[in-house]
Amino acid sequence: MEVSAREGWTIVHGLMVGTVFLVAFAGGVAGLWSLRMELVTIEGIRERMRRLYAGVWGMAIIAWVTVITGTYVIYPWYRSSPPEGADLEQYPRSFLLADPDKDLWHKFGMEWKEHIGWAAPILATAVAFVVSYYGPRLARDNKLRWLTMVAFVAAFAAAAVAGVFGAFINKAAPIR
Amino acid sequence: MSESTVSMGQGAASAREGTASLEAMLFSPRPNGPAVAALLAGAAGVFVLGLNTFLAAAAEGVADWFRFQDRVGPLSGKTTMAGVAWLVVWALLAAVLWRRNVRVEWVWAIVIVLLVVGNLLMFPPIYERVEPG
Repeated sequence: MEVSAREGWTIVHGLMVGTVFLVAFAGGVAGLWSLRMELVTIEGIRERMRRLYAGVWGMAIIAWVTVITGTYVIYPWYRSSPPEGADLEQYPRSFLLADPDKDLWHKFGMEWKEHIGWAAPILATAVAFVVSYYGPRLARDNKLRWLTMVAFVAAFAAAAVAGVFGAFINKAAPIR
Repeated sequence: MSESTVSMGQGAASAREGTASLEAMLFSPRPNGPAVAALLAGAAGVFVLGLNTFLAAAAEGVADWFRFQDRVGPLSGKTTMAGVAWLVVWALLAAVLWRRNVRVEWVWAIVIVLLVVGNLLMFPPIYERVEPG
């Protein structure tokens, strides 16, 4: 069994960071959802704020790591142009575009993924700031808490689109 | 009244005081302006990302301008400039709203519009319609 450096980067970018991202999102969204005066005591709010801070900042940091490694490390390998007569399997973008049955993976999947993925760290950072700045007061401000949750779920949805297409595209045209 | 009853009463009173001071600390008044500024700026960042994607698809000159790094192509400029716009908008809104309380209903509407339009602008079936040739 052998893993090349490029495959190693795709594993870090997609699998390892993606797993931590899911855990951070679950912690963050559960914390925001239950941050309500009718559900928890004053001591309970203080106790769960620590987990909430960890969840929202964890998701923001992980999202930045994911988009930066994806865009500046892995994407250049994906989009590099093949020299004349080269084996296209080493050049995923060209490999997909050369096959009419597979070109939509690039034209739709990659084109959407490479842009929408960047929405995740921006929104997750905004949410992390709101939670840190407003803190337990969110428990008494339902409108702001809900808006924060919407932004947090939107960040997750953006990352989910990018992650799902990343997995399928890497299946159709692996980076080796 | 026995000594233990007096002691339990004092304990309960002290716990109530502790909870009250904790509540005062946790919920000390704070304007929502900076929080609102962060959410509005985040949505604006997503909108600018969509706008950059759309403009780069519509005009090759714009796509070339966004080619900040050859290995990455126009994506490098589209995302960098969206990040810059996000931070600039955040700084400006934070400066304006720092000590203010804002009606969150308006913020809801603006955030949702920016997120929906921004996402539509970066959706390939939409921006492909304006691609030359």
